[in-house]
Amino acid sequence: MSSESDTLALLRARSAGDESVLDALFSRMYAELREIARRRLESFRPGDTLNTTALVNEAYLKLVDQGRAEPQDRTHFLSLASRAMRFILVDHARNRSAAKRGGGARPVSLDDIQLAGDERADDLLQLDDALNALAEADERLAQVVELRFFGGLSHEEIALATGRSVPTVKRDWTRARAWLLRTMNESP
Amino acid sequence: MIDPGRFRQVDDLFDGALQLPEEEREAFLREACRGDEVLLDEVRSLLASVTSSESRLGENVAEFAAPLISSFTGPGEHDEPPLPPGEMLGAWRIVREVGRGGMGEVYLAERADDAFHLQAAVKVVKRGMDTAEVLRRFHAERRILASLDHPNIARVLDGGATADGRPYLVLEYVEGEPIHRWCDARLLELRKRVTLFRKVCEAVDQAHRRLIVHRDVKPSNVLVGEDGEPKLLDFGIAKLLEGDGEATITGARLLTPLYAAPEQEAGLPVTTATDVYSLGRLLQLLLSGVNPGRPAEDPGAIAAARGTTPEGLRRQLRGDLDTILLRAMAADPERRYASALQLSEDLGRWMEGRPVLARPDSLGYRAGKFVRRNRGAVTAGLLSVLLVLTSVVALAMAQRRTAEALGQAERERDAAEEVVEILQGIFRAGDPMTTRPERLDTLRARDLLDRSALRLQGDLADRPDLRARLARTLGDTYRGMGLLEPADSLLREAVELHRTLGDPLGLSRALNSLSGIELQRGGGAEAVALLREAVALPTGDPHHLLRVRSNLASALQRSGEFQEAAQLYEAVEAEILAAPVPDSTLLSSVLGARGALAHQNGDFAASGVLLERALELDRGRLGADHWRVGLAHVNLAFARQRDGLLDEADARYREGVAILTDALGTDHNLRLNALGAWANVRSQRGLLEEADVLYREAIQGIRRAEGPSPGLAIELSNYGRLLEKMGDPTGAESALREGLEIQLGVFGPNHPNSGVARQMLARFLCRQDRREEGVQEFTEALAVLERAFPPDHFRVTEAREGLEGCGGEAGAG
Repeated sequence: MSSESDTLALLRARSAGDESVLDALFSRMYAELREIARRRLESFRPGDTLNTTALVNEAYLKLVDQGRAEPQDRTHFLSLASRAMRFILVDHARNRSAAKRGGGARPVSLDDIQLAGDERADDLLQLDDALNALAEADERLAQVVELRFFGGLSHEEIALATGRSVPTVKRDWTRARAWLLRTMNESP
Repeated sequence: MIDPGRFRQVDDLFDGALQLPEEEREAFLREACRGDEVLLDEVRSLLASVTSSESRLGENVAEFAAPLISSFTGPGEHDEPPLPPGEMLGAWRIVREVGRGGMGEVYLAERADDAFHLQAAVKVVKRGMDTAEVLRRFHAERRILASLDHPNIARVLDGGATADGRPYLVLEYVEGEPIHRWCDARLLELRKRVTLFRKVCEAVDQAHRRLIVHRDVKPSNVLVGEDGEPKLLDFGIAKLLEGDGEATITGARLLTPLYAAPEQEAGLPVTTATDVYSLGRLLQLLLSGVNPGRPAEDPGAIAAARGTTPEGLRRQLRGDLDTILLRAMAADPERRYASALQLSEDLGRWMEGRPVLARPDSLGYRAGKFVRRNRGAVTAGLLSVLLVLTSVVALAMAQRRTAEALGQAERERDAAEEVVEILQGIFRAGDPMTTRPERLDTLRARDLLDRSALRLQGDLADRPDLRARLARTLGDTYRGMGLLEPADSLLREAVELHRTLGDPLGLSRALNSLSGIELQRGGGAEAVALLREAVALPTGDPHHLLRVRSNLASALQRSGEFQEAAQLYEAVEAEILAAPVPDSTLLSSVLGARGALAHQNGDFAASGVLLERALELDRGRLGADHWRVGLAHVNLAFARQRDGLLDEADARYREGVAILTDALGTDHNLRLNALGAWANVRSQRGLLEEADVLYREAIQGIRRAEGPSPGLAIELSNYGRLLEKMGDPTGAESALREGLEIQLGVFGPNHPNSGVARQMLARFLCRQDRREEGVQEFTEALAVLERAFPPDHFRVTEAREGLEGCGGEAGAG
């Protein structure tokens, strides 16, 4: 079984309700996304930014056999990949934040990229906490955030993935974002 | 944090409110919360964070946490291990690693053989760059860079290759902060920022003269040291590092260098113009705090770091600075400044208040500059401003109704209405009152409208209800675009259809809209008749009725029925303030109109108080750059002008016109009317040439949009006075007579507007020593004014004194 069709089978098992495949599928995506991001970033110059949407799409092309994939496969994939993207970035932010706290005095900056990165790390961790809190209150809104914010999915793609109308998705996104910011502002 | 028990209730209300037009949310929530203030506050605070969450969080994590994501390749993740302290690179000893980015590592190093411990920064490039070709270029370019000797450019001191073959550069060690942070930390105001930035431009220009392009100008490459001098880092380094590596990247381009010029992103040749673009971006960051790739910061904080308020900052940025930025950052390299020096010189012009190159020299623009430099020169002269004031305020009322009618139509929901809604969505894009000008493509909207109006004739013949609503919506939209002809015929059709259908609310709305057109054309009496019919209809909508009554007051005012207008306005204001949720939109219009009435009665102080209240109300609820705030400035300027406060009036006109131009575009009738009024103040201050330019623009625009309307008549009469002062009696007389003819045609001989226009002609004739004609016109004007105003009204006094001065006999008043 090739890795493409393997992923496809896992995806379909997962969407058919078999939760046990989640771990296998998720760790595969996590590893693949991370690898793609790493390769992309190698050719980065300071100040460049990473297009997470492109990463997620590239992972899809790589992991899923296009000849056999159906539209809903892609949707399921994007949903899971969005979550994987979130985990990757939050892990990264956590590492950086910890490194900063444990690292003592900051060096003189000749290239402020790293310092700026540290600043945003804490913001992202706060956002992640707020998103967890939101998920407890309303799983659906949190899902929209994952798909939109981390996966870079369009409103139309989210509508397709969640079976809701585009206007509803847009409103969900607006509301979720307001909740998040408010929760972030409230946290110490 | 989020209380899951309460979440559902709060979020449902939040969702419900979001589906309503903004002005209805408060009422909806009050109703739904039934006195639960905590709940109400919670939903309100969520609504309030909708906008800030949009700017703070953005659409994607890549926007939100760009620097974090680009640091993904942090130490220890996959890169080479750092060079250990003490490692020697040529004559340089590594002290420690101080940074790591996408292109490699940066070390602090010191010269081993130097007693002074000269420090330097050593940049070691990543593996993968070390091909023979790259190394060859690297050494060639390094020699060129070493020849760059400028106090604001960090020097390249040395270079070589590490033991494992990776190239490195030794650069002058600069201790400092990125320029934008340095400025922010010191709360530097704009002029000081510009001064600092000009040094950067001049350094870049020096390098350009040696044909060295920086290629990567961005804040982290411009450090400011303790001595306050900026230093450019990494000159030309980007090119050194641009090996074959890039050519091997396949697939979609994922790099988005935030300060890169469009041609750079497109992979086209990089020239000195590329640096000019990046300098523009840097300037934008320094001035406005806009940092590409990062979420917008709080405007209050940005402004505070520049020693001003958000409004003050906007005002400073508007105009020349904005134009300079746009020129520097033009997408087409040909349209940018030809050199970094030219950019710097234009900024120098801005600092001295001279005309900048970044704009073709239109007369109006030069005039504006001239005025600023010659602020002291003021000569007094009295001109009629009464008429202008009336027309602008009334137009404001008419315009407001456009947006309102659309809002109301939107609220009517039934199955058939969906068609209307879809169309409205399209049309609203064409209404400048609800659309920002950058999104407005008037021509396209106009095409859509015209096509839909045609379809209305055919498709909906058997659906009079739908047809009535569509006709009204289309009519309002045409009116919002200032196209009165098609608006008129559609709204008349809507009136007839609603009347036949027996729909009082629809009829009232259509009458209301139609009256707006009549007012715009000067048909005050017709508007009054239409609105009296509307007021009497049993619509069952008290909110709507209040607005129609306010419009009736406005129409009465326009017809010269000042007494009844004043009473009606006061009644409406009292009712608004008594409502549980005061309609602040309507309140601001009523305040404005009452201000205009006070003005007409010669009570300029009271007028100023009312208009200032209106301005504050609008600024608070709409933000400083809303068109209505622009209009409020203009209205207040009238009052100040009449009070003799010409400096304040001029400044307020400038502010008001700037806001109106930004918000509504150059051809909107509100702006054109404001231009005419501004011209008036300038003429009063003796700035004749400048006034001439403004008048011409106003008259041309109004004539094109409205034909022979009262607004045009006012500008013509006032322009006549100016032409006379400029020594052109022939032109003056023909303008004054045309103005009077229009007033007579619109209002008839007994309206005060006609009286004032005639009086202006009379004064001219007397000054030209054509006393017989002058006395005749004065006598006629005085008779009209005495009927319209109380005997001690300034208009009457003026006319009487004028008549006597001309050698005529004033009656006993």
